[in-house]
Amino acid sequence: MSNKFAKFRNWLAGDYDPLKNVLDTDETVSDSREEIKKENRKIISEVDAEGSTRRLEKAEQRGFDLVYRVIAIVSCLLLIGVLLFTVALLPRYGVENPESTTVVKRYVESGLQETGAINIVAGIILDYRAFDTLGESHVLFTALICVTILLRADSKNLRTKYEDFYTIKQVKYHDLNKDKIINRVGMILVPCIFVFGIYVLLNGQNGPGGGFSGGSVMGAGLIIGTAAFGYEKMDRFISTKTAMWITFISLAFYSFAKGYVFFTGANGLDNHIPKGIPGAILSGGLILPLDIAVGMVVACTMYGFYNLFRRGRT
Amino acid sequence: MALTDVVKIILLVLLVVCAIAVNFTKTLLQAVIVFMSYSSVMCIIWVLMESPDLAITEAAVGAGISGVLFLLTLRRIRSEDDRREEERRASGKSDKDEPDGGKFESR
Amino acid sequence: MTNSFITNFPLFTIVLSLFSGPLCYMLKRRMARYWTIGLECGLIAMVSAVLWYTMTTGSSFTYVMGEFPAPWGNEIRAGVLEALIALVFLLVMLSSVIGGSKYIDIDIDESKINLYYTLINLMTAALMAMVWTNDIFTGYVFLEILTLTSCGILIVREIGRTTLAAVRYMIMNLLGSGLFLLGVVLLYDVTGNLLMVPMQEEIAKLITNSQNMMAITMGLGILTIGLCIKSGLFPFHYWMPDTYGWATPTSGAVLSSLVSKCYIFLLFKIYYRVIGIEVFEQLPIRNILLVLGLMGMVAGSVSAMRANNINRMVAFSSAAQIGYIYMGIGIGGKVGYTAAMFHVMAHAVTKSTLFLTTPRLSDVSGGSLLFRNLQGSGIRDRAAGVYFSVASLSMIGIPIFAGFSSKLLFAEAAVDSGSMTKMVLVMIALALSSMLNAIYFIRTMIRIYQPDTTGIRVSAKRVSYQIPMIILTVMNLALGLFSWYFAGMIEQGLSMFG
Repeated sequence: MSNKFAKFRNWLAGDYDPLKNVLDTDETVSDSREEIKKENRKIISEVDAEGSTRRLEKAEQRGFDLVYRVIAIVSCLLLIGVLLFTVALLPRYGVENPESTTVVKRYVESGLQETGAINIVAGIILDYRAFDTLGESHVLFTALICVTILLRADSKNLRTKYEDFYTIKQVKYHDLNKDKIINRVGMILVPCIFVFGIYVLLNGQNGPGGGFSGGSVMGAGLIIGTAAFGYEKMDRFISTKTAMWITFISLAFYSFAKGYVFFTGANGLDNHIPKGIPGAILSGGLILPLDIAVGMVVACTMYGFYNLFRRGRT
Repeated sequence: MALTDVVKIILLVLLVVCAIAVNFTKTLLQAVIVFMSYSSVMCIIWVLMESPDLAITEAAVGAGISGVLFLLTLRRIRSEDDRREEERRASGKSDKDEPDGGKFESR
Repeated sequence: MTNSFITNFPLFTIVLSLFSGPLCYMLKRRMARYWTIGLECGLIAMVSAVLWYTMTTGSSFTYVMGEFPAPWGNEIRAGVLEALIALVFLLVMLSSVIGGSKYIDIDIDESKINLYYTLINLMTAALMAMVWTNDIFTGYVFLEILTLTSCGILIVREIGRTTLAAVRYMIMNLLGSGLFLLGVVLLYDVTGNLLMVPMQEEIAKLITNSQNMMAITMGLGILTIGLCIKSGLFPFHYWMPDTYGWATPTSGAVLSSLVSKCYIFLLFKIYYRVIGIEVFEQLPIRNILLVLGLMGMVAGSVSAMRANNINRMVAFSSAAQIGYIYMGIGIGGKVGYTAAMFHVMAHAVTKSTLFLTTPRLSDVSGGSLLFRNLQGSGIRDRAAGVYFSVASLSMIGIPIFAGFSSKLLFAEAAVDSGSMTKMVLVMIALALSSMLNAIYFIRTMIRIYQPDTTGIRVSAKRVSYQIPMIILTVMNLALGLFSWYFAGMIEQGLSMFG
């Protein structure tokens, strides 16, 4: 009896941390910027000074630091001042600006008839200026490839010893998916997040939303699902191969569908894609399939980032 | 000035404060949290500017996913340093352990 | 608008390369390589057809992407200059991929080689799109792809130095992209269009009424600084030697020859089509670019002389050559722009040859890149020595080779510029930098041909290495010997560029 109250009294007095051996906090390694700067400088000097003689003496190094800081602050302030001055002289937001509104007028007035989408933004990014969105989805894919190259475990970067970084010290860390609170809350929340994400995705052309928004929400749902349920269950739902195939098919579909539309449009042919009734789910011509493709790419990319950061493979 | 204007000005000032505060935090964990709050403020500003698409995306990506990725990175660089220290202590190697002091400068 | 099927080819180049990215992600290593090489050959055939078509019809054609014409939809445009530059880029890319394929297998982990080819394909798509684009925001989107892929092909070789160099490269490039986007946003705010030709009309109207001048000036200035950071103009070139010095040879060749030139080409296109060349000739930004280019020429060569590692020397000389191109844009006039574009092609060909021969020279010297260990490597590996010498002579500016023709064109442009100070400055800088180039390149050539009885001899000759080197050397000689023909093509292209 007195044991429990002793613990409570200790905690009240600030001596005892009830979460000490339960969560992943590790007090021996500090988080502070000074330590990190020192370690970084050590690592950088090790890499740089392999084989080359020491270039700067200590005093020179300190002088260089001082000059560097002064120049950095001065350049930042200069850039801030110049940009503020420029923006102050720009024409006012919302009024008849810019002078020529030919482009915006047509988007607003005939956007609904020409694209079939109530959400004009979705019409613009996936119909009028679809080429830019094609590039943007490939930007996401490129980022995923670069992160894969950097972080995926292979024979050269010797990270194959550790499947998941929670087991690095062979200390039993707090497995998130065995925690009852996160598991139960996840069971309720994750399906709701997925349903919301699919709703935002499918209603891209009728209301706010679209490929990027819906895809990000679904990606966030996948991440929370992994945290709540663990890797074994999640790998049965979406495995590495599935994610790869989904990304490839979505991007290929986007390239060829839009390539077909550009080809027929430029040569004056008719592309036989029905516009549908505005307001229905199946409307807007190609906007719905492209939204789904973009959403899939975004979701798989976000999930891929999380996996690469956490366990070293997608 | 209408109420929305006052709210907009407060939020914009809060943005600048967050951006400057990221530099002056004591630990990196605090910096990541300030970054996530920056994204949340940005999300509200998008809503006030009548673009809900951007608000949903900013909330999911900025405050959610990129914050999580930052925290995972922090976790990982701590663990990597610990592992390297342990290996070094275990095998008893010194820092500069190359045969010719690295003067060969190979490709 | 005509009915020829060839007008669809620019679209096909972009879409096929974009599709090949995810495709190579799914393929295995060998199939990815064959697919990439096959795709490049196909693209070369298509772009040659476009070049022939635009030369015979004598005008550029605009290709509407979708059903909506400009300024509501997107457009790409192909003329003689774009097709010629795209052709040179594709040939250099093909040669770099084939020529460095042995080192791709050595340097990169087995499981990531297909990812490398993914990045190469996406980079090809980005280069093609930035060459053909007629819209400033499409230029930005594909500029992002180019930035990310160029960082990716650096990181893929996992030694400590490349990761550090890639992080520095990424930070500088992201700063440049951010500034470019700020400039685009400012210009969009005052003109209301994103396609280049309607923007030019709006800017002309605004300048005659003298309103929003601050926004236009600042937009243009910030955009220029962004692209100058990314391409490596004089004060911003310090990330270059680390980046190119330790990358796998294909990456070094592609980055130094193609990526920087693509940014300069985009900047040049913006000056020609968004601002308008008559307005540009009156802006003081030209003189700033000229001065920075001249300083870059001299500073790059001085830093190259002090390098003790052959890859760093070649990388610093890259910074000097970028200075040449900016000097050409700064001189202005028809001949100046022709000289700048000619040097873009000449340098692309020469620099990739250099980056593909240095690893072979170091291979026969026990793997070291330091000068004192490279003695006699030209005798031990005759092929690499010959190609290195050809490229060095071209960089110095010996007649027959491409470097001489471009220096001659620069001198002609300086004389034609009409301003005495410009002519004197440019001539002095040309002479000084040629002399400095000669110092460090001839020193290297002498060193690699000095007899050294120790060291291994290489007797096996890889056909897959000879073919791309022969392609590059033939292009070099063609640009040198038939420079009047190529200069004529560039002038024809410039007349339809605006």
